[in-house]
Amino acid sequence: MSSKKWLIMLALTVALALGVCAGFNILADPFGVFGDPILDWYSYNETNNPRVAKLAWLEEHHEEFDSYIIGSSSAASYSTAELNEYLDASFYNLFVYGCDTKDYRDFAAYLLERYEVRYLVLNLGINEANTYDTGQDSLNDKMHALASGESLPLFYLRYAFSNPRYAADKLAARFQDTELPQVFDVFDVPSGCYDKRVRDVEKIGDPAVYQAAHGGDFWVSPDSAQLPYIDQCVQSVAEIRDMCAEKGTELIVIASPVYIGQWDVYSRESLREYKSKLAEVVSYWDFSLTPISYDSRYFYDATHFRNTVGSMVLSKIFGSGGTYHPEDFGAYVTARNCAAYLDELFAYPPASDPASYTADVPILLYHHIDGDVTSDTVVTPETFEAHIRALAEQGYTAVTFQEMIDYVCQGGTLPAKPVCITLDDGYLSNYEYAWPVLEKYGMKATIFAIGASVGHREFYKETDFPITPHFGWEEAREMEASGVIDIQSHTYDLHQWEPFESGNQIRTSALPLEGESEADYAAVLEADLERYAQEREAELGEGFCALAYPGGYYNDLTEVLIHQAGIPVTLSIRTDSRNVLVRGLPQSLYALCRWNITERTAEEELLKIVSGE
Amino acid sequence: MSINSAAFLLFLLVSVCACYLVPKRVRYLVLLAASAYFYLAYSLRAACCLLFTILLTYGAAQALAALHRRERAELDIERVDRSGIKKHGKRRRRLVLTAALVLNFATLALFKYLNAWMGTAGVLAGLLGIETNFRPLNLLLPLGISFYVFQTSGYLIDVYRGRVSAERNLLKYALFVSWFPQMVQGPINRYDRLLPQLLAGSDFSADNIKYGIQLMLWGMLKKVFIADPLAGAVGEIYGNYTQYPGAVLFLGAALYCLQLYCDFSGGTDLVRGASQLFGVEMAENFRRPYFARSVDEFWRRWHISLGEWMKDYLFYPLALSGPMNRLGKKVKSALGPHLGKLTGPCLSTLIVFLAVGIWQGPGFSNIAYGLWNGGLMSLAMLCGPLLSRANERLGLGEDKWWFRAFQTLRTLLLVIIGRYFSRADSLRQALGMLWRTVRHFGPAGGGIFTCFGLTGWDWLRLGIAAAVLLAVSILQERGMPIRKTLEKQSPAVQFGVLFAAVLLLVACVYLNTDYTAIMYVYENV
Repeated sequence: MSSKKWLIMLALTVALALGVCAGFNILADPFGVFGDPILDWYSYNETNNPRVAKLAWLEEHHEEFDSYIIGSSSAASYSTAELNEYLDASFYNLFVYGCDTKDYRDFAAYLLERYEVRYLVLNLGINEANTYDTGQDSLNDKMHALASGESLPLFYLRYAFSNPRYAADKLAARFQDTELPQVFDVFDVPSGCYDKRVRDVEKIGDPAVYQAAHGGDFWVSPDSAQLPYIDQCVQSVAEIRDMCAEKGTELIVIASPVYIGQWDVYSRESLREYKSKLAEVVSYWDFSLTPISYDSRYFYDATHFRNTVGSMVLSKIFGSGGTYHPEDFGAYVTARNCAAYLDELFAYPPASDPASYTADVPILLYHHIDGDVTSDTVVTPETFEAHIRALAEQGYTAVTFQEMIDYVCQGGTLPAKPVCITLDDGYLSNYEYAWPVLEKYGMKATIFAIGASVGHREFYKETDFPITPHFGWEEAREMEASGVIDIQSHTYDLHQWEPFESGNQIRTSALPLEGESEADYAAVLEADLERYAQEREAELGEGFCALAYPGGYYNDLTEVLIHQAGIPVTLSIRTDSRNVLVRGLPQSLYALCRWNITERTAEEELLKIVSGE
Repeated sequence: MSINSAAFLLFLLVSVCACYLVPKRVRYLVLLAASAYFYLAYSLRAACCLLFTILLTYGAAQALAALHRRERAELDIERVDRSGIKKHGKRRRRLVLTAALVLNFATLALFKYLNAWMGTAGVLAGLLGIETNFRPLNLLLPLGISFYVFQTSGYLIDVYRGRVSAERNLLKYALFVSWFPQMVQGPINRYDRLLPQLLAGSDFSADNIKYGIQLMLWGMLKKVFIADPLAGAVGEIYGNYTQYPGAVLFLGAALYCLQLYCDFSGGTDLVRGASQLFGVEMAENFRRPYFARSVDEFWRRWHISLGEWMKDYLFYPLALSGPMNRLGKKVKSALGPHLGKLTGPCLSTLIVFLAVGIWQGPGFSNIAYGLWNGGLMSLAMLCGPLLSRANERLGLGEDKWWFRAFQTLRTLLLVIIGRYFSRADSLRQALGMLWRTVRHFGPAGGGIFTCFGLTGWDWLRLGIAAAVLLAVSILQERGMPIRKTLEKQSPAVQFGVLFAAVLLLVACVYLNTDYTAIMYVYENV
């Protein structure tokens, strides 16, 4: 082969190789630039580069929205569904992590120039005055050419000829994809928010446990006490304000909640300057320093407040009291009241007393009550009565799960010494012995009945295997009517007794079976919840709000599916932390700990358990 | 602009096209412009440093040339005291040369050694109870400074010796110094071999382009597929040597030999190939050094341009100097003719390798590296006759393949030991690693391969690339011209190799394109 032929062949082969690479990149489309023609997996694309993928997705779906949220990652905690309800609008959350106010301006210009926008919610943290124009040029951080003004052909060329490892990574990730978000698909595409389903089912309560698990996330770098980009930030906001005014868009500016560790990094003078200058150009809601700032449990880490705090913020701005938030939570700052507001904020910063918004509620677990003690799940009537008497004499007040939910979600109150008594499985002995005793001492309890066993007095379900008698719906109605007993769910039929079951799909807990697909598992769990709710509703008038896991077993997916189904309380049988309920944190009702009480538990020991000593 | 990046390839493509599109007589200006762009894209500060060296050595060379001319003119007039004129002229030229060399090497010392030397001085002062408040200076080592300082110094010495005449055109001289392919990893080119090619403006030749591309591909293979994956693995072993047994440390040092060779020679092939695209052949810098059968031979195969530079501009001037001759004579009368004859070469070798060690970088470990090599070569010179006689009596000769293999392995072992010093951050670390290698060699076994942080896939890829490298090297060692042999193969074979080469090219470009694994944002928000 002559050198000339060799070179021609080389050129052709290089062209072919590059063509193949570009084709691969376009088809796999790891950044969502080309419409993701095959996988249509924008959650992945947005995780790779939200600036590019979100705008590319919006190009196709902008007709579904009329309002937008702009901000960096803390703006992810504002629920578009709540905003839609409050403002009767269709919101899309166009937040992007690592954004600065130059990006906000670019996003606002892009939205306002191309679409009709009713509301624009602009979220500002402190960091917005600390960095400016940090835009990187890497494929992961680049702004979409639609918003940056860069040449579109060059932009597409760059992504078409990007490193094919991105596309290969996407294909590999596809095989690892699960129902729950993983590190590579963290976005909820239709709303634009983060998919926090897993993070938001994390049990929160005991501050020591939270500190041990997340202490490191709350370290803040004390780099500088100054905020060097206040003027640039304010200028960008002013430009956004003017653009909105020109288009008739309502601009809502929120200074987002800040963790005290981050707040304390900056000098009072810098913070005051930032807030004053901002008020000069726009009126805004200020939630930066409020009572929740002092409690890390309201934050994912030092710079991100929880979704539930986002709900508090929206409730304060738009709501009518349905959602809990502290009394002195947030203020509306205008150019006129700004000086006085800041004088007060810095002279008398909001205080926080955990006793005012937390409650330690020990939960006791009983099962069967019988004179014949055959296991640790049986106590005699005498022992049970002795326990209840001891609690009553020591001034404990029994609470129901509804009261606990009201405390956490609505800001309701709980008695000074609350205790929660639970009985699992729904034995007839609960009706015969426990109920009268509880009534006698003015206490209340919750029975977690297994739906499939309700009313089975002799045999296990439809078999010939004899079982301990379970009460029926008739007795349940009677007990509930007394106000002493609350019937909740121990699942409908996920607490099967293996020796008595036939077939190969035996479910002894709410966990998925080995090798079961997520979709199949979700279908089974949802059907079970539905069936229990339907039967309970038919027999007792309404659904249930708490579910005790059979055997105490669950995983992240179980928790996600159950809370997604609208059940706010779940219970385990762990005893490794206290049940500290925190107002405004629904996670403090998740996977609650319970102390199993046996025949051997003396009254002193019982009192120690409930007092937490 | 990394030399194995897409940006470099694009730059190369534009430069080559521009080069062949302009008339030959101004082609050197295109090459100079390309070199200036390449260097300015790296750093303006470094470009200023390069400009300083260009102006300094250009000025010094002009001064030397002027002194030469003046001397010749005086000689033309003066008929009586001709030796006095020559002596006086030589003294003046030597003064100019010395001043220029001192200044030239001072820039290298400033950037490469000052911080380290000041640090050492601070430590020594501390030991003497003197308090110093030394803070390292913010000195970014200009790209290629070690190469162009040596290259320009060699040129000055050649001008001084009258071997070459000084280049009068500053732009042409600037091109000789700043020719971009040599800036990254050398070689140290010679004025009389490089500049004529740069100025000649060769015709467009498909052969040149083809050979250039082939050389670049070969360099990329070594760099991207062997050197780069090994860099992290070797760094882990040297950085945490106290955690590993001697077997792992030894393997780490051996892999470092491979990494260094592939990085350095791969980079050199790449830039030599790039240079060939313009029809400019740069000096060969490596000739399969790990096949050497002695340390002396190793240094004739490793970084050849440095070795030749040292030989021409340091070894011979030293070995043939008056003081060295006088010392040789004294030793001869005291210890015999053999030692007397070798005194000069041995001492000069030691000094040369001390300089090589210092050239490598600051730190006592580099000095120890130089002395290790110089010492081994001096020892070989001293014991040479003895060993030859012993081999003769034992019937060992180079006609036996296993004896040649033994010599190669023995040399390799000595080179590996040397690499303990050249890669270590300090002399203490190098000695510590050697100590562990000797005293805590085990446990060995297959487990040692897991220490390097490389996956099975990495090892496989590395193994294939290293096997290809070894096979090609063996064929070359046997005298087979690889490219010519390939050209004689059927079109299908040639296409197969081309296809593999293109895949390699694309992989090389892409492996070095910006890539960030998907961010673990979810864990952090």
